[in-house]
Amino acid sequence: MIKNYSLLLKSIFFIFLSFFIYKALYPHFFRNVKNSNAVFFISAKDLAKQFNNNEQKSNLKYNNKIITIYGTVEKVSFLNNRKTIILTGNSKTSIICDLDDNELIQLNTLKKNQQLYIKGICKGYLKDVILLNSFIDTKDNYE
Amino acid sequence: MNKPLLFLILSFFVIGNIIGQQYIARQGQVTFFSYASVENIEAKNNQALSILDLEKKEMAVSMLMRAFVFKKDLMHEHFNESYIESDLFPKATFEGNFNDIENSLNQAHVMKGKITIHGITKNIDIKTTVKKVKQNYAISGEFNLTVKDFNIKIPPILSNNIAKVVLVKFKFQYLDYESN
Repeated sequence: MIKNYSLLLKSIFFIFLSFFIYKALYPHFFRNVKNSNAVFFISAKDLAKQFNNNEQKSNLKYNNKIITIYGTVEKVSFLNNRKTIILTGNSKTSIICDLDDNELIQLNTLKKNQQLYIKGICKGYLKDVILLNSFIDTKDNYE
Repeated sequence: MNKPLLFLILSFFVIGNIIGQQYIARQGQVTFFSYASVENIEAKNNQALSILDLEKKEMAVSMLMRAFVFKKDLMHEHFNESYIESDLFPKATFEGNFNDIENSLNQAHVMKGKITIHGITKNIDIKTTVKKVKQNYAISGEFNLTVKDFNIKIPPILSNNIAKVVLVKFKFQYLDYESN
């Protein structure tokens, strides 16, 4: 009887332990961009300009953070079976937004120069600023 | 027509021609594969940047290490935080030279160049194939990288999870620089 009781206690302990580990690690492993608030809210033009002016400073500020960008559609692309929206920045730099697999928008419905809000994780800058796991956002979230 | 004007018009054509010799790929795909006894790992980067300069016969590539996408988030974390140290070395680059591109279309040839990963630069020969689609170029190829060469330290406990030699494949579709 005592043996069974201790086994039960051990099992409960392990269930709780697993639960806490799961809770503690969940945000790191399953960060969901769609349900998270953006840390920064910025226009595509401003973001491009900031990266042009000081890449290192902008890397520290934006890299790996969830940001919402508003801007106009330069073009959409299906290259490599990815859905990508490119937002107009300036003559040198645009914002490449690689859409999350769970973002089901039909890219064909978007028009050139259409205004959009896109939320994603900033990964840095080459010639363009790159956002991954992007979702279409709505203006309502920021008014 | 007077001579200076003729010269001016001609030089415009020449300059136009030189600019027209640059091509850009902003959404190049670079994939790496690690086949190991415990698990296989594959990661894709779909935003590699490449510039192809026909005048200088050069190809340059730059990519963000953080833009590699893995099947498991934990792999992504280990790759960036422990192995590649993306905060310190955010980019990998390649600069290569090719011979006459028009004469080597659609056949495999070796491109010589320098690759920089994790802050370490190595000479490398890469098997590449160049194709021309509607006036634009597409370059693809593959090569092997030895993890140890780039001072990437894998803890002994994980040494069976990660291959010693990693296969890298790439695919760039170029567009005229001016129209992009």
